[in-house]
Amino acid sequence: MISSIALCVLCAAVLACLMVGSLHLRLNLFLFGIETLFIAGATALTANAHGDASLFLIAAFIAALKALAVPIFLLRTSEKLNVHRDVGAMITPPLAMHLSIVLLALSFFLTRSIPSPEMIDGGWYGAAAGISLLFTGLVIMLTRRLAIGQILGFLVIENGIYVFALTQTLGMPMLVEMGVLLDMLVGVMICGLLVFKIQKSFEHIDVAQLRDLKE
Amino acid sequence: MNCKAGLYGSLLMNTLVAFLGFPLLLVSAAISAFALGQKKSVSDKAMSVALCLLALLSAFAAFVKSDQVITFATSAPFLLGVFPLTFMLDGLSRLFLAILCLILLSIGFFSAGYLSHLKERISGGLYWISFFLFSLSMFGVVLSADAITFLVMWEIMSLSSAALVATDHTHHSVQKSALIYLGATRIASGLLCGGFLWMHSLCGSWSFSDWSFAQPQTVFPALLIFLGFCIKAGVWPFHIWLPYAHPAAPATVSAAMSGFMIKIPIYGLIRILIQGGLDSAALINLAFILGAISSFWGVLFALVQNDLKRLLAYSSIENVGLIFLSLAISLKARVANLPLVADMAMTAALFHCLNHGVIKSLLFLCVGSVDAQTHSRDLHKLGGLAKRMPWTMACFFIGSFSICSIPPLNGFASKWLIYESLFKGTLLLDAYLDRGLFLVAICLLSAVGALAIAVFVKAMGVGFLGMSRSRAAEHAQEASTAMRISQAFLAMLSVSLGVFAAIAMNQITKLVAVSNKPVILEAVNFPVPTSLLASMLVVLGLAVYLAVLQNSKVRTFKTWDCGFGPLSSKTQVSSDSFAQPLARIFRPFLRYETNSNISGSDKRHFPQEISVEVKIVSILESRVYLPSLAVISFLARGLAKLQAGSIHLYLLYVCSTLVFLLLIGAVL
Repeated sequence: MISSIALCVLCAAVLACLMVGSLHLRLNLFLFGIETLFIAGATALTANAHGDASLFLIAAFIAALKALAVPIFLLRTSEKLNVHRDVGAMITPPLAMHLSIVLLALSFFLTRSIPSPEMIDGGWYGAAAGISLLFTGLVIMLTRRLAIGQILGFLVIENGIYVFALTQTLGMPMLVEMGVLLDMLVGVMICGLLVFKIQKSFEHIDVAQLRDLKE
Repeated sequence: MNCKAGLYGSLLMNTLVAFLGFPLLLVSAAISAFALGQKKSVSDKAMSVALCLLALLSAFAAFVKSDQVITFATSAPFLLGVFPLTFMLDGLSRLFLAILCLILLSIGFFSAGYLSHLKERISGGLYWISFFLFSLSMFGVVLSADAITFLVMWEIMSLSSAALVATDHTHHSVQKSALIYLGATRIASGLLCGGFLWMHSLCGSWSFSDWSFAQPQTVFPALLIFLGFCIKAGVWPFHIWLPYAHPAAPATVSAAMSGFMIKIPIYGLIRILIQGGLDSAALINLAFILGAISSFWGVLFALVQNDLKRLLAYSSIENVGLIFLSLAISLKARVANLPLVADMAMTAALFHCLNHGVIKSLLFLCVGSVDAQTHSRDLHKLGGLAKRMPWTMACFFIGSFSICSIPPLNGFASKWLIYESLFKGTLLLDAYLDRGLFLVAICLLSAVGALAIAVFVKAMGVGFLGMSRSRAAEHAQEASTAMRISQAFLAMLSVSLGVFAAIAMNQITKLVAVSNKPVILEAVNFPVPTSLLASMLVVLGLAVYLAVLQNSKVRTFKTWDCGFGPLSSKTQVSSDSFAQPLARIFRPFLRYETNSNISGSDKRHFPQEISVEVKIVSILESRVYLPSLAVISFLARGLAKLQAGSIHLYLLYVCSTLVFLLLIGAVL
């Protein structure tokens, strides 16, 4: 029987795969929010299972900041820039979505031999979900041409790392977790500002055209 | 006793800190002056004085107690990661420090005057920062007791010397030379790193004293280390960088590089491989053969050079070859259990390091004065300097005689020892192959000696005698007093090391015996009859003067011009024409070609224009190095396509690497 924590993180991984399938920014951000809510739920369930009060706090912060504030901020940014749909790069979204589902399956194989601690049940599912989120984030970054898509992919990668850490180590100390969250928030803010600047300087936010940084 | 040693240790530490801190202060002063953009505010005179002080102070610190092995490890804040920097001062490093200090002292005297001629072309701040870094790192390399410290100092030395080669970097040729030199040092450092890592994995220690090369499995790391040192020393076939770097660098830098820096690999060979008990016959034979070839190759190419500094650079290749040869002789004799021959050859090698250091820096400094006065080092534009620069000429002649091993000068003494060890080895060795090798080496050495005389007769005769070949040479002035003092100092050193060779060698063997692992087993007095020859020469000269020359009258004539009118400087023997007969003999090695073109309507009887062009192609450069460089740059261009500038492509790399690594982890 699969544990509820593992179910939550696997749902998050599947939602991330769904994100790949659409180029609409609004839908993507909505899916990202739900996905992060699932991760916050997994954190709360872990806190409940192990009686760790600080993890509840972290879960609340994740739900408030990552699941609500960040998507809303990015939504506002995209509306200000007047972009609603990504153009897509390299491979088409349906194909990319199938690729990320294949990667989800692959990540179960890849994490097979990662030894999980005794007290955690369903450590394998958690590790697989974490690695899968990591891959999905990379696939999102690969298949998006606009800078906002890159930020989104980066956030999914960050989620993946968090899920991996949560399910393998019962979460890091409160202080570290808080620091990471704060960093993420500031990072997103700066990225949002940079997107504005890029728009201003180049009159587009298409990263496929930013290829001068080579010798 | 213990207490005394501790007291002395702390005293030495204080001296070390003082003498490392003092120049660091100067360097920082130079840096700040440079950073402020006031390039002229770096006083060359102050810096020269500082360099002399550095040399004197460090010589004092090294020799204040010369009968002890002193070790020193840095404590907490001055660590390299978790490693302390360990230093050791024993007889061998004292000897090399002495050579370095002598050379730096004379360069210090020379610098101020010389640099004033280069004022417009170089930036003083950058030059002096690099020079002090270079000097200090050479001290560091010679003092280092473990591989990590050695590599760190070695890298600082290589990079700062590359910066010095590029001092006059506005010229295209200098840029090219600096890049070639940089490439050579990179490869050398890479090989050394490989060898050191390999040895660390075999011996489990970074300290040189724990490394033993007596086991068969250490042959490959020993080979890597040997090749790395060969590149840096400029041994054939890795000598390519030397004739580029030396002409490009200022004379002071060439003097330091040729005089001392190319001896550091030899120090490294002795410190690491020979003290480590290297006994692999293949490697010793390799050193023997490479040494023999590079001595011959160097002198052969020196013969056909027209740039004085290039000529001296090739001559350095020859002498490094000789030193390698005598090291190989010493190792062979040691393996064959002939301690006398081994010690003799080792003494010869060490003494030749000292002698060549003195002579070569003397010659480079003399060429530096000539260059400063005439703005040319091209033999086609020199000549007739004997009357205008008599002091420089005298010093250059002493250096040239010495490097041609004319008794009683110091070059003679060390070459005598090399010959003697070869002869003794030929008689005493058991293996016929080794005897044959030694005999061949004797023949080769005599050919090298003869060619060296030709090389320096050309340099002296074409450069200093006869008529001036250019306006600049005609109006040359004698170098400044300080420059002359520095040249005279080295020339005196050369003479006295030659005349009192027996004493000098005795001191060297005594000094080198102060070590945990002595390279010379018994300090024996080797008989080199230089003092006898010197006194005979003096007596003979006096006798000839008294008997013949004293009463003869001096009459002044004009040279007979065969009725053609006044002789022009074109009628003299030129550098090319002097070298031609010998170059023709060795045509296959040099790829020597002369194209003469005579034009005119009746060119048999009334030629209007005659032009002769000499062409030399370095086979090694055109057939080996350039093609391999082309292959490498072709491959590199292929690799550069990976860097497309596209974020998506980079993400794909990251993604596929991640999947790949995780797959490896999952499968294994």
